[in-house]
Amino acid sequence: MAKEKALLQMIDVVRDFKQGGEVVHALKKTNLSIMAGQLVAIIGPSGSGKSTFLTIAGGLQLPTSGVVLIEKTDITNMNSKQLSDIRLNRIGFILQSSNLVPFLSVDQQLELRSRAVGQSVNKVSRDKIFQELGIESLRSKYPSELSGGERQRVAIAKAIYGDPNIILADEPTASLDTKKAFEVVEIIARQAKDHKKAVIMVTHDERLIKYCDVVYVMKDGILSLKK
Amino acid sequence: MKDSQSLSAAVIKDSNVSRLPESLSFQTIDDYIFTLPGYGAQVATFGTMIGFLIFISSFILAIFIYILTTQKKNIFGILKAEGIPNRYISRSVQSQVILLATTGMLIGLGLTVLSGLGFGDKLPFMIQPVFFLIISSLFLICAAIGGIASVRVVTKIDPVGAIG
Ligand SMILES: Nc1ncnc2c1ncn2[C@@H]1O[C@H](COP(=O)(O)OP(=O)(O)OP(=O)(O)O)[C@@H](O)[C@H]1O
Ligand SMILES: [Mg+2]
Repeated sequence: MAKEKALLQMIDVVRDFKQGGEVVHALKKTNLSIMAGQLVAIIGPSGSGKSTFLTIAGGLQLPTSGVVLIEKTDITNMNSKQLSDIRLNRIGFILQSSNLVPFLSVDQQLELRSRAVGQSVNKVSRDKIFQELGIESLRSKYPSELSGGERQRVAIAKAIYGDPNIILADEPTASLDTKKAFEVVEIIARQAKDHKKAVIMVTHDERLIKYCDVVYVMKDGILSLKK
Repeated sequence: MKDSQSLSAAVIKDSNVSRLPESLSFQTIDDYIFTLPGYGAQVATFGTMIGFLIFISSFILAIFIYILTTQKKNIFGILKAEGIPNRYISRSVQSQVILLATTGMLIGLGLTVLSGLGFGDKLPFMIQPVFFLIISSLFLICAAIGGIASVRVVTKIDPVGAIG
């Protein structure tokens, strides 16, 4: 039953890097399923393999072995163009450095995605997102004119504009104070709860865990459930 | 003209004139000007200067366009991570290079002609369409080379770098 709603699955996923003559086992054998409506946190020390995990989950790089299923589609044999398509349509990224283009206004950040696929702006869904995130008044501003919290909201707007079912966030609250960090995580949590997305969030901040349904700890490339 | 001793040179338009003293030889006006002391050296100097100026400008133009693009490498990396097609990013870079180079060239040509008019008779100035055409094409070709190099950089960016 539950398996049917799994939006992201990893089966025996391993990622090794060859560095010089040595092999770095960045991600050891990993199995997991993430369901629609789940907010999953991944915590762990620096260099433990969190970003490696996230980039494999997001189709940015392929595993050395194992299978990654995104909405039941096996991506492990895809070429870079097919992976790019998967990322465009199935995955929303919220990045640490806030993934905004410095010389585009908030409106244009979203418009860019529509243009890239040869469509005009979906005004209805854009306005709905802006309203939900409380950033209607920022639409004509540029990233440099926004505060850290506002920038992260816009980054979220950008990530969900294409209506992906999977959202991946890498340290989305890294540069925010506690109050702002909580606000941003609440917005991210709502994407899982209200919109039934599968959300994975990598974070150093253990205070954010209370918003999450499942918490994994990454240590030396081994992913395990936090007790 | 009767006294051949007192005539050392004559400028004439018709080479059929035959009543000049035998001691004088014929030379075209252009050939003669080149025998003026320093003239040949001056032309060579200016020619080399202008040539190098054009060459260096085209080179800088290509480098400038290349740097302009590679500076945005991080942004392109993020866009690629988000799944924005390579084709779209490359095309945007290309069309921006063409727009930039063409606009720059037109402004340059306009200013050249304007300053030529402004100087009037004070400075020797001549519009040479062929020369202008060659320089303009050279600039466009160099911009295109910079553009092609930029597109190669964009295509090679690894989107994994956007997450780290
Ligand atoms: N492209 C690569 N080539 C070689 N080694 C790599 C590569 N990417 C990651 N690694 C190694 O894999 C391990 C895990 O790196 P990863 O970036 O996933 O850690 P992280 O948990 O995200 O760390 P941080 O919290 O600092 O971001 C590290 O030892 C790193 O050096
Ligand atoms: Mg990391």
